[in-house]
Amino acid sequence: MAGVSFNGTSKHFDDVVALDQLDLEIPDGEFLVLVGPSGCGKSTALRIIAGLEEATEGTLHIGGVDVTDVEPQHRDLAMVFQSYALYPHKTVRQNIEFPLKSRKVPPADRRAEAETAATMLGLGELMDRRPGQLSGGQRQRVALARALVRRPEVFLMDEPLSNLDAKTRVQTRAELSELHATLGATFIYVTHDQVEAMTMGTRIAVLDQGRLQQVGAPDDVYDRPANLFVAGFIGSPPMNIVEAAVERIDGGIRLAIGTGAFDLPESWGAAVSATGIERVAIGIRPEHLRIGDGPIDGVVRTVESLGHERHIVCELAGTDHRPGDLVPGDLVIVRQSADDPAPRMGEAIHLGAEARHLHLFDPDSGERIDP
Amino acid sequence: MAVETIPASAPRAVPPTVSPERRRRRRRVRSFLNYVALTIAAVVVLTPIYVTIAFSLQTGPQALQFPGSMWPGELDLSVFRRVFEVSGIGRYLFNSALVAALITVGQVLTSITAAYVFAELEFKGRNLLFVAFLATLMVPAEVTIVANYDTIVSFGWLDSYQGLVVPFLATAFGTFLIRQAFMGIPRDLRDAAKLDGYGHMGFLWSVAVPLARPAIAALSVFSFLLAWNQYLWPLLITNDDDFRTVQIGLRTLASSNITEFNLVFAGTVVASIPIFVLLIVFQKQLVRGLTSGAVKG
Amino acid sequence: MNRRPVNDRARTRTRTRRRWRERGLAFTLLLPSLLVFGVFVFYPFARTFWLGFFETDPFGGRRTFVGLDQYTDTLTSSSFRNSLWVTLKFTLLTVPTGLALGLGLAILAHQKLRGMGFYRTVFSSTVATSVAVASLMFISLLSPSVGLINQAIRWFGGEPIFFLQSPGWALVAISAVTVWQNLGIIFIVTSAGLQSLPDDLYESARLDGASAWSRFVDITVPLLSPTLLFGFVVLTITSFQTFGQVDLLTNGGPLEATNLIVFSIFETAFRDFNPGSAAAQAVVLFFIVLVLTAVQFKILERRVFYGR
Ligand SMILES: Nc1ncnc2c1ncn2[C@@H]1O[C@H](COP(=O)(O)OP(=O)(O)O)[C@@H](O)[C@H]1O
Ligand SMILES: [Mg+2]
Repeated sequence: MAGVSFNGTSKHFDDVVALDQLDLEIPDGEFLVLVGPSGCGKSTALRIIAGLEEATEGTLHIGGVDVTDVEPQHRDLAMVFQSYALYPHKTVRQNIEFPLKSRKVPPADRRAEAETAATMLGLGELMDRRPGQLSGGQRQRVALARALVRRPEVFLMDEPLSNLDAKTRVQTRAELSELHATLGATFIYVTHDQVEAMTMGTRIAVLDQGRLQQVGAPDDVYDRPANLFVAGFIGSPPMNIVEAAVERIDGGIRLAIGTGAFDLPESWGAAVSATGIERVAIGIRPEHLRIGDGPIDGVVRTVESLGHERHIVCELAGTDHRPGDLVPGDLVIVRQSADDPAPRMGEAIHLGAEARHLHLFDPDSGERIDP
Repeated sequence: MAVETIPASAPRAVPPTVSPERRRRRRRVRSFLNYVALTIAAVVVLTPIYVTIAFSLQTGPQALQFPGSMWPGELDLSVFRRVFEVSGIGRYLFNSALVAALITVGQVLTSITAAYVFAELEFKGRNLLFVAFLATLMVPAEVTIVANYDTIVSFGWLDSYQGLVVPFLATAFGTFLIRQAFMGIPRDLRDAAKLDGYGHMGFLWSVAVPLARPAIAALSVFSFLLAWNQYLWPLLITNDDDFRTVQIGLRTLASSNITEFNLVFAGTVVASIPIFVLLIVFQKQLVRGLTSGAVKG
Repeated sequence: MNRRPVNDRARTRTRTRRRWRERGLAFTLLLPSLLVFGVFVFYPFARTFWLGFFETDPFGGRRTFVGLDQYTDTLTSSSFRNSLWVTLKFTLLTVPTGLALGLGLAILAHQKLRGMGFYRTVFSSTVATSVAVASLMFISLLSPSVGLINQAIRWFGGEPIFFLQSPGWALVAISAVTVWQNLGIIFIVTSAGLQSLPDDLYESARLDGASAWSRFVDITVPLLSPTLLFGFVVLTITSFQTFGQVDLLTNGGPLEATNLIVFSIFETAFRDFNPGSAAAQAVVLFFIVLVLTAVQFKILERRVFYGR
């Protein structure tokens, strides 16, 4: 059993708080993806699990045991680095055998284990090459084989795909998921790429500025982002966020956006009133905005065709914050199927969305408001 | 120069052109002049070496037959056998090789371990120690010979290999050279080795040292050359022929065979051959060692 | 969440122990170097200053404390002043000449011509000579009887010159040996400097129509100046440490014309048996080299020691 749990774990580098009071429980066998923008503390969290950084506060448990001050080599985990960290002067075989050598595995067994790991990853032909003679994808596999060969309970991966070309990346993504299923070990995977996070994780944990923002299954995080940061970070193109004034009306509230408004039932009204705020941030995913009839007025600014779908950037009427700018008002992106009729640039349109697809947030604290 | 006439109707001036023929000729003349200059320079640089070799092959009277003396007549190499017989040059060469090898190995080892500390370990007082290493570069050996001589005497190390070797077993220059190489090793490799189960020593010997091989090779050649060429210190602390290095042996040879020039020159030739061979083999490493301070970093 | 109370005391203990283990390792790894430096650099360094306070009776070998008197005596003695002056002349004779010749060779060899490898090896070859070898090789040129130069002079009907025995020539002769012996290393370092200069600057200068001379003055010299400056300082320091040539060829003479400072220290300490005076001279040498080294470090800063 090797679940991992952070308990109020912090890491300070002098004045920089790289990780702030992280509480996170990762059950045995999970594929958890730590995702967040660059510099948010993902690597630091991973390195604390590995024992490469000392936690400033709090503890870390692996398999229920407090390992906060246990040396990395005694933690039974393996790590794949973004740079792969292969030993350039050793052959592929020597690289894979290296972790076994330190554990005094007899040479014959070492060789056999290395062969097994290499075969699993299709490295059979390359055993006598050096890392310098391999492609990026092959190096990545060697790094994986070196991690596998020890059969650790926990695999740590720090942006392992970010140095690969797009095609190899997609392919390796699938292979990693498969590997996770085969091994049944705990995978903790760091990435700044939310697409990777969505496609690979059984759960994802979103970090920003050293703080945990939300943990959950990818679909839950996508459908119910806990705050404005997560709403803007997960999803591509990102969720549209527009600020609106709150007015009370009969049987509910009216959220005024430019010349138009959304009317929401009383269930929302109560929730918004409870927070006592006068403006809310409304989030709408691009695929949930409809062009046609709707309460919001806008003008088409650009139309980008991706072949199978279309991204339409609209400026909302009556939201011009800085008159005189080329585009003075709020912009939203609408995602449309290529089968729908395309609007023309400069065309005046109406936008609408179903109430169940609206996300409301407190614009100051960023917290989600639920009805 | 041919006078070019530009027709009045020419739309714009044509830039002067040189025919490919002329350009090739000009280039050939230039490179010929270059070769002449290079060859003259080479002859000048090589003259002392050539004359020494030429004189070593000649007996006294022949050597005085300028300009005939410049072209050795019959090649009689027996002088090289004689120089081994009449002087202890064999022993001197052995001593020099032994002392230089010991110093080299010692300096490489102490530089590797000290460099690792300064590159990888963090602890209070490290900067102070680093400054102490730097400070040793400010004290030339010539300044401390008087006191060091006393130390050697009190250790009873006059005429001993310890006396020739031990004072040179540490080098700040070498430490900095190797530290530089260690600092170029990516942090990820250090971390990977930790997870692979290696502590500081495991990482040092199975990863850091192999990766710093070019720097270590440069330091080795450099240390060996310096140790081989030492003059003042071995002169000071050896009197016994059994412990004299070849540099001091040459001094003895020169002062005791004033009349037999060919013998002195033969000794000089013999004494320089090992280093010439070494440097031809390790030219690249030497250049790296010599230029590591001066060019770039 | 199963946040457990953190056992701070135990943690501090483990971490402190780890830190001490690391410090112990650091100390063990540094120990050999520290021992050698302690015994053969720092201790004798301090002792040299100390010895300078004592005067030695050359007959009884008794030492008496004389405080700063010996430093003032040494500094004002005509013999030591002569040594300083000779050393300075020696520096002026060897350093600029050596640099100019080495740079000249480097520029000559900095071309893409066939057979250049051979010339480079020839120009580097004098690094392989030790001071003893170089000095004895120069006897083959300078000796009054067999020396090639004197043979040639005689062949043309002139009178041989006693290079090593005449006060006018001896220092020049010593300098010539030194320049020749240094040529290889200067060539190697300046060549490397030249090779590190960016080609595109030269190409754009050529497009701008710059002549070979102006390319040399406007590009090569400024870009190479750190290397040249470094070479200048290092050679100056080395010239203040010169000993072997003098010991082998002139013994400081004639009339102390080649009594370089290190030779003077050596003679004072080990032939006149006056370690106190030798130590005082060594202290002066130290301060000279200190100033020069400080300059050298300024040049090297951010390049060797702190560069990452
Ligand atoms: N060794 C270190 N020293 C000082 N600051 C560091 C160190 N490592 C990371 N940081 C800082 O901690 C923060 C988090 O870094 P990191 O965990 O590497 O982010 P991520 O992997 O999410 O991009 C950043 O602000 C970074 O600058
Ligand atoms: Mg990172």
